Amino acid sequence: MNKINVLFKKDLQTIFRDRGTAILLFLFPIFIPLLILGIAYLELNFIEGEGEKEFHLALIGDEQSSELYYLFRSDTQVILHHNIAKEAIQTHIDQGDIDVAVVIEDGFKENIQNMQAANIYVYFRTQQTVQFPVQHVKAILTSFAKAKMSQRLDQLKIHENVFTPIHIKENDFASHQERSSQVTGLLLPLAFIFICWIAIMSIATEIGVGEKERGTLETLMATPVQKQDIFISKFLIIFLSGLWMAIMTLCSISLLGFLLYDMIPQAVMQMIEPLLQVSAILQIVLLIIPTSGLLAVLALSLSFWAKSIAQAGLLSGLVSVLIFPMIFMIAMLSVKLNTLTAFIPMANIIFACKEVAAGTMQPLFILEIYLSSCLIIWAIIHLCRIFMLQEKHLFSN
Amino acid sequence: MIQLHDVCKQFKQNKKDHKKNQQTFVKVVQNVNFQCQAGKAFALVGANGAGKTTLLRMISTMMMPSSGDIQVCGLDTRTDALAIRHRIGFLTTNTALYEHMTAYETVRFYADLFDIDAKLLKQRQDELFTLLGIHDFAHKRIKELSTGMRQKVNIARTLIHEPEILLLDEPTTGLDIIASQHIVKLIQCYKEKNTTIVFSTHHFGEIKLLCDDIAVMVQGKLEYKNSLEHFEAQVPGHSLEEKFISLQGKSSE
Repeated sequence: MNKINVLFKKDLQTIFRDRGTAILLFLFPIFIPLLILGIAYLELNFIEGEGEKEFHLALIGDEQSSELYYLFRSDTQVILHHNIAKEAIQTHIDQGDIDVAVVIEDGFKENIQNMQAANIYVYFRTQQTVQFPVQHVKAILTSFAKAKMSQRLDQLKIHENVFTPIHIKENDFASHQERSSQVTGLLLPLAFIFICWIAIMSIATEIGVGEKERGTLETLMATPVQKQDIFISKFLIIFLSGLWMAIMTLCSISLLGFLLYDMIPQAVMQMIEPLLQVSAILQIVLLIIPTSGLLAVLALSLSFWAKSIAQAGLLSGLVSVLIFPMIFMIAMLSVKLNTLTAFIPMANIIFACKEVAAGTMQPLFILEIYLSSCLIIWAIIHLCRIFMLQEKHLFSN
Repeated sequence: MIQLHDVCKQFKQNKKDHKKNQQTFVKVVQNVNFQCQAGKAFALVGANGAGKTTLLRMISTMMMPSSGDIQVCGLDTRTDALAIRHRIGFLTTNTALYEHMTAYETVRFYADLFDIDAKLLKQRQDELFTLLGIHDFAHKRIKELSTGMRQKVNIARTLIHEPEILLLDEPTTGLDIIASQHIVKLIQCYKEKNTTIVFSTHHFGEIKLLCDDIAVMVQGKLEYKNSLEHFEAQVPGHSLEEKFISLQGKSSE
């Protein structure tokens, strides 16, 4: 135990004194929430701005419906254009002179009067940005069509219910938190596994294969230290780094959420608010511990197996490519956390995140997750003692 | 005392080499037998890839022999590895040290691994730092030191537990003349203290100054082993270099 302590202190000193790892562990947890907030702020500002912006609308055939003409003319966001030929619509849209064109077909008036169907054509070009002008125009046209429908039904003295004989009334017992957990339960494991993995793989490369490549591992092996003591001390450092990084990021996000409470849109706040409660934060922290442990033992095994820092980088990239779609797919499964699934390593953490997000987590499952994670970590450490700590993996030459 | 009896070491070949040679294993050290008496200096000479480093790694218990036995101070490397490591100091071929530690911290770290108590550590550290001239840069980080300074720190960490046996893998490689001389003098000093020394080198000047016995390794085999006097008298050639080359040539014939 004393040797593990000495080795642990040495590795701790290394990661604190190395500029790269120090930046990663101390600045990254502050940088991530700021980045998320910055992107969200820009996106919301853009959406808000777009929603309030004026846009150009070409109305062709307005003589067919004065009601529609007045509807568009009275809208403060619409700048109306009349003198555009039907054939030139595409050119004007491509040139950006107009955003949307509405063409009321010939005979529209007669068709409406004769209780026939009449056509209105909407022309636009789908762009990458949000289609507010199109949505706005469609909303006006839909409400106009509904008004026409009501008029016709009144004329015929028919009640609307004639066409909707059955009303289906939904009663969802799920709370708002449970409903929003569909999204938060998916994002939560992705976020903290990603953050843990970044710290874990960087530190594992530095103190695992890095030490092998620099030859310092060889000097350690000439001292009265057991190979597994070296492995365990490194595992502890990597595990704690992942844990530190994830918890610090979580704290920094929570603090930022608390400080900027009023700035966060209500829809977003409603979604994340359940996760900002003390009990949910504690449950997330409890899930970060086994996650960090599992990822640490995986990263350290890869690091010892790799022959060089470059190869370790390649391997970690490959694992990232595999691990994140896998997390996504597991999170998308409609499998619930139960006595059986709580024993499947890693997948149990993903299922548990959904439960935490929905506020339905049971303490017994956390115990099962810990038991399963401890077993798998112990098994991997044991296998590493047999396979990874062999001479061929410990010497770079 | 160090005793090697029929020691072999083989490594699994990678798939590419395996296809060429149709062999599963490559023999790096083959049937090596020698004895190094306590208090004597034993030189291992050989071309690059002759198996010197592997042999030293096996004596230091870092690697285990594929077959044969190695006894260090009467202890078997297979069963008493940790006890042997307490008695040996191994200076590896590269000046591998922790870049972010200071010279002082480096020596203290290795001393902790050898369970040296604080009082004794201070005394030994003072002695070694004075002997090696480390005091001036003791609190500088390793990354700020020159190769010569690093090698001095490396030697200090190798000697901090006062080993009975010193294994030195090319201790002066990459050093300038002054630093090399300093290290040769230090080895001489330890030899006078009755420390058993096994070292590998490419410098015959060092062999002449330091060693009592010499062994020449060629492609994993011990081609020659005897006293330096015998080597000088019996092996054909004018200089030590010529004698070594003649042995190499004889073996490849």
